[in-house]
Amino acid sequence: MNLTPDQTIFWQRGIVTINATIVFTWLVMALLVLGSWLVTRRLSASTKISPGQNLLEVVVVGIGNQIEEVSQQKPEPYISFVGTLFIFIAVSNLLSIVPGYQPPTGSLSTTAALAICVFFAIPIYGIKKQGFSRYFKQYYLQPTPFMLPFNIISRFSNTISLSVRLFGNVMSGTMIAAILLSIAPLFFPIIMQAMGLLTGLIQAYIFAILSMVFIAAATTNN
Amino acid sequence: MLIDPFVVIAQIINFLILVALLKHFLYKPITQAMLARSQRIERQLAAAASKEQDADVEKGLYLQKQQELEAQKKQWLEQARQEVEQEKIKLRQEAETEVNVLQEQWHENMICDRHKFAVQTRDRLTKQVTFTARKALTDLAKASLEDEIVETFIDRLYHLDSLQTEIIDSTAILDPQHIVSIRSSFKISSEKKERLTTAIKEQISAKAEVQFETKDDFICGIELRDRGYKISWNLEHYLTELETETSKVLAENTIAI
Repeated sequence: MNLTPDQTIFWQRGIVTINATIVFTWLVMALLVLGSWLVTRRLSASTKISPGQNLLEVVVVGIGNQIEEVSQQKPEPYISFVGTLFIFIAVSNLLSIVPGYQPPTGSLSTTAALAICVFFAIPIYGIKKQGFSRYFKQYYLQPTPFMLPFNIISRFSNTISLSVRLFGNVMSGTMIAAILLSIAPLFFPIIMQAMGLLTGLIQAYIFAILSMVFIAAATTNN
Repeated sequence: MLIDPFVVIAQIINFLILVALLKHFLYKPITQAMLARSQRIERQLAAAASKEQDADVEKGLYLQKQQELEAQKKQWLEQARQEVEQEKIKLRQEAETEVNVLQEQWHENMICDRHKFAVQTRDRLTKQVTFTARKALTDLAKASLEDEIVETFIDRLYHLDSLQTEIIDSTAILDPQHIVSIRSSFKISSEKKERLTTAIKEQISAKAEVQFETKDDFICGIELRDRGYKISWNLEHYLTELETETSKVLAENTIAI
């Protein structure tokens, strides 16, 4: 049994490896981009809109409201990054109900990649909003410059915790489903699969919200 | 190892590409569509507010016109009421005038009818009285009414009162040769004519010339007519008195009506 989809390798030459993580990531990306393109190519500005546009508007508005609620700022600068985090993780997890599919978020490489993106997005947004010196003072020299090493450790630990939390939840869900399938193959796997869907959605929400909280902490004055 | 550096880098690149693609295909179009809808709704709301404002202005104008029409209506009604009142007064006056005219006309007609009735009554009475008297005289005394009238008239000539005598005398002095006219409703016999002529010459003037005339419209009787006076005896006096009484009774009844 594979712990992560990284172990399912389709093609490899040197360090270049095409495994299930990358393939299913492309699949999810294709699904999201194609779906978005199909819906948004014929958008309506009137009050009569298609169900697809309605769904996407609900998703975008819902993400925007959450961002605004958490950051107390306008959501436009952050919605692309945070919204994509949420949608990618959520769709990756929800598709786990499809037989043969392995969620890319079950790979620590993927969660680490996402966490690294967040790790770099925090200073980028902070410096863009407040300037380098102000961001640095607020984010690394508070409450005292002697706390700088601990602050740096804290930032790294945030990133690691983000990635490990998501990986652990998704991987454990997959593992539990696999174990239960071998022990009690008739009834329990269905319940656990449904629970896995809920957990996957919640994890996507937690990852996106925590990312937004870190970004908001870097972009606000206090 | 759980973390593959190549996969991490690949996933970072994949994620960044996905961010860019979703920004282009999802967030931007959806945000723009919502913004466009919001602006469209704002425009519609602004247009609705503008129309509402126009409607308020129209409503104000309408209410003003309504008030003006109401005032004009009151004015017209007042004017019509006054015209009706004036017309009523005018019609009443015309009706009163007409009634008065009709009343006067009726009154005149009534007087005329009453007079006709009195005249007819008198005529009938004359005929009836004459007939009755004639018949009574014939039946009772074998005498003629006309002869008796002439006799009575002759007797009256011989018994003139002092005033009549004085008038006759004064007339005779002025014109001794005058013509005395005897008018009667019947033909007088020759004998009675002679007696009448004799009585006239004795009582009035010896030179007087006597002319006899028969008048159909004369009521039963005989009349002597000289220039300044007349002496008569006929039923007219009695009938005139009766006519007067009848007219009086009719007038009283008319007033009572």
